[in-house]
Amino acid sequence: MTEPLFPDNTVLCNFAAVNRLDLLKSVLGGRGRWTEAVAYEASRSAAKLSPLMALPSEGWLDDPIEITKASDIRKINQIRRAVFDGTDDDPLKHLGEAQTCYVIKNWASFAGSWWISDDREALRYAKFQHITTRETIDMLCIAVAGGDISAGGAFDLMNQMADSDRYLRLPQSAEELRR
Amino acid sequence: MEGITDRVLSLLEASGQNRRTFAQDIGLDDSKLSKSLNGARRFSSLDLARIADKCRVTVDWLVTGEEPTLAVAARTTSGQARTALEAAKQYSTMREDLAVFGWEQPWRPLEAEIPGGTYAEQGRALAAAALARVAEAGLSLTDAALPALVEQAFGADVAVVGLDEGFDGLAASSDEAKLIVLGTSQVPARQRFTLAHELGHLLVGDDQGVHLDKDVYDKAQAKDPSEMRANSFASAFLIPEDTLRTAAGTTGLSEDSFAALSCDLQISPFALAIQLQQLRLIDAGMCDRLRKITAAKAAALAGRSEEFSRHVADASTPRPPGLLVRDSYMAYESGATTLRPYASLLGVDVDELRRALEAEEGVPGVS
Repeated sequence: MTEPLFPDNTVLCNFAAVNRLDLLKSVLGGRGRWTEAVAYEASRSAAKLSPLMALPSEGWLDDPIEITKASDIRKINQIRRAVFDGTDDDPLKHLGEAQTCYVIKNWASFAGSWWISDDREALRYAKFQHITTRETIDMLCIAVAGGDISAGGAFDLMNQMADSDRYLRLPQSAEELRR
Repeated sequence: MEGITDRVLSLLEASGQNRRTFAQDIGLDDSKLSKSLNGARRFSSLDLARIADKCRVTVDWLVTGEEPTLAVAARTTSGQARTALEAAKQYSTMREDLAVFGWEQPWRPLEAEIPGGTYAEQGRALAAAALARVAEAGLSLTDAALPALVEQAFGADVAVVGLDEGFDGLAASSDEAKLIVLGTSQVPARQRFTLAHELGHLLVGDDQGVHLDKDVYDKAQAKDPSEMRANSFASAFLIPEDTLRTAAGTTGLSEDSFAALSCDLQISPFALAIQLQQLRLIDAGMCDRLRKITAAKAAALAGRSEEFSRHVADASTPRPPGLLVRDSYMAYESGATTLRPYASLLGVDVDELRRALEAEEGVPGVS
């Protein structure tokens, strides 16, 4: 596997909530990327989830991808509104999702990338757009398979995430994470 | 990017801030902002969204320098009209965006040219063509709810938004979106007249942009030629001459049959009496007597108070634009969008809506 992996802010927040961004870093294996709007969303979330604060300086998601071509900017704004229900009055809302979808679908350098999210709507839309999707639970499965964490440890970690008011799909048992 | 730079510079100047403070507010350092303003660095999607957020402008305006008429109107208007304009802006933007994704508005203007003659005659001729379209579509003004009928026969979106008294409606028109926004009302006949009046404006193409009608019954406004034509259209559309002549027959109208006719056409006894007198189907004395009947009294006389109460309730209830609701669901179903725009139109929580859509049909008493 060499495709870039784009965790969205919900996923970053899940791992930050249990202070295990190191585990996500290990699973992403140097292939993690983020757009400028996701980086901005993470910086806003850092007010409540302080582990996110170190993300830009650690650099394992690389420099935030900047979109500067006027036609790309307009199309992203249109996707943000039409697909994700953003509005002109709130131009930052859903910008991270729109940018991520757009670069994966339209920039050759990111073709085949995975989009990692726990948002049901974003996941459904991405599948229809033939974008490979993964959720936090899939990241934990990879971590278990790679020996980064035991299945029991991963199971407990996901329940801790949920206990921290994070919304994500949970496994029924630790066994489910051994796949 | 020169245009973008100019527009950002104008916002910087208007803010009264120095570059450093302005840059901090939009998350750039001083040197990055300077480079962007000097053309050495391009503004990014995030930069522009943050500038738009801070300066209350749109990203589209920053990129193109163009701002939709509705957005300008919403920004520069106050009171009830502003609420209606904000709704119109939201619906029009959704429609324009959906058109790009393949769901174009099925707008069907009348093929006939605007005829000659006085404005009132033009309105009546257009109404005849519009009534022919309604009949062609197999619809009837006395059966269908008027907003749904207008959507089906003409392909314009019709929304009813919750407003206090003081604003009747508006018509908004762009290449991709034809929209009528009405205020909620406890007077169904007035709301119905406003809808027909706005349809008249759209069919004639009176305004590319937005046409506001704070008070469709305003006498001063009625002197404007386009208002005269829209009023004439609305009257002839809602109170077809043929229907009145048939109802009057050879024996004329009694108070009871007048009341029943007012209920059939869902128009005020006042407007009906005036129209009947203009067609010489009743005399001035009878007109004076009949026009004093209230809509509620007419419903009671016709034994149709229950139906009248439903009309009052309907006119008092907000309604999202029907075609937009349909198309945003179709866009969701096909995977072109998320469920969020559809949920937003319905004013419901997206997670609850998704759970409801995904829930298996239950059978009472069977788990």
